Amino acid sequence: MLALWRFFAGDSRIAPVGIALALTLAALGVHFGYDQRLVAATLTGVLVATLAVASRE
Amino acid sequence: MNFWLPASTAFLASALEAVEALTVVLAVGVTWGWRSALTGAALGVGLVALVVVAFGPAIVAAVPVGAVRLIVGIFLLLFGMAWLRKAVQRYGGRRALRDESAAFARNVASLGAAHQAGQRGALLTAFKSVTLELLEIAIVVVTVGGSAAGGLLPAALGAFAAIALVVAAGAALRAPLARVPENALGFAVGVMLVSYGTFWSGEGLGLAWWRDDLAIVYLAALYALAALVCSYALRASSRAASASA
Repeated sequence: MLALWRFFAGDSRIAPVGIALALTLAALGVHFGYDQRLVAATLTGVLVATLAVASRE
Repeated sequence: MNFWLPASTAFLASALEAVEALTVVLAVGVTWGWRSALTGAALGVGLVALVVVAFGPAIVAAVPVGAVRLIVGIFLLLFGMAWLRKAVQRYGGRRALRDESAAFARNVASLGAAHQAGQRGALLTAFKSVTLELLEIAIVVVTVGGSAAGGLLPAALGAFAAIALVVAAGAALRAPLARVPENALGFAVGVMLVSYGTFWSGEGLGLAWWRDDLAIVYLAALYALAALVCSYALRASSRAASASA
């Protein structure tokens, strides 16, 4: 299972967490009817932040 | 746009993976002979073709569209983020740049030393490498093409074109394709995969992107800029750390 996970996600621990957080916030935003542009910006912003932090891992 | 974006993304990603597989197959061929190398490669191709034909369309057909887009988006984000992170670290000086000549030399050395493994070990090495790289290509084609308006065809064509080009170049040169700008390709592919992943996962969650057709383009521009800034910041901090040491 670990080998399969590593195949898809690589060796970063932060990246999968950041992706999960971004998608969770986006899902909540859509569910509670927030402005679509705000949700899109949140999704993209958290992913950019994930890249920035994960690249320093 | 519906043809060229998925086709070019699949082409670039497939070219990169095919070059890596070629390096290992060449190393096996040079060390243990072409029969082991080509047999292992052919077995790998056969296995992946079987998996793709058997499972690819069935998975896409069995799951509701929204769920497919979300799942595809998640795979692309995981894959793409791994590639982009490594590309940023390479340009930021935290990771060694890709060097197919060095990889080839390492493979030849380890294969040459593994006398006990013999022809079977060499065949297995070629088989494993080709299988893994082709699986990655298949995942990119199915994910990038599977949810796109143009279907699988543009991505599949892009992948086939890249593989054919790399195999032809490898057969002609009989040497690792060291001049392929792998680091730049890795950066571009990472940007595209993360952009596609963001777009599809957003759509899967019910998000409507501004200027739907252009969304992947402006997402790619944003991620490219972000990745360049991260690379620059990493390089600057590495220089500051070595200056103070």
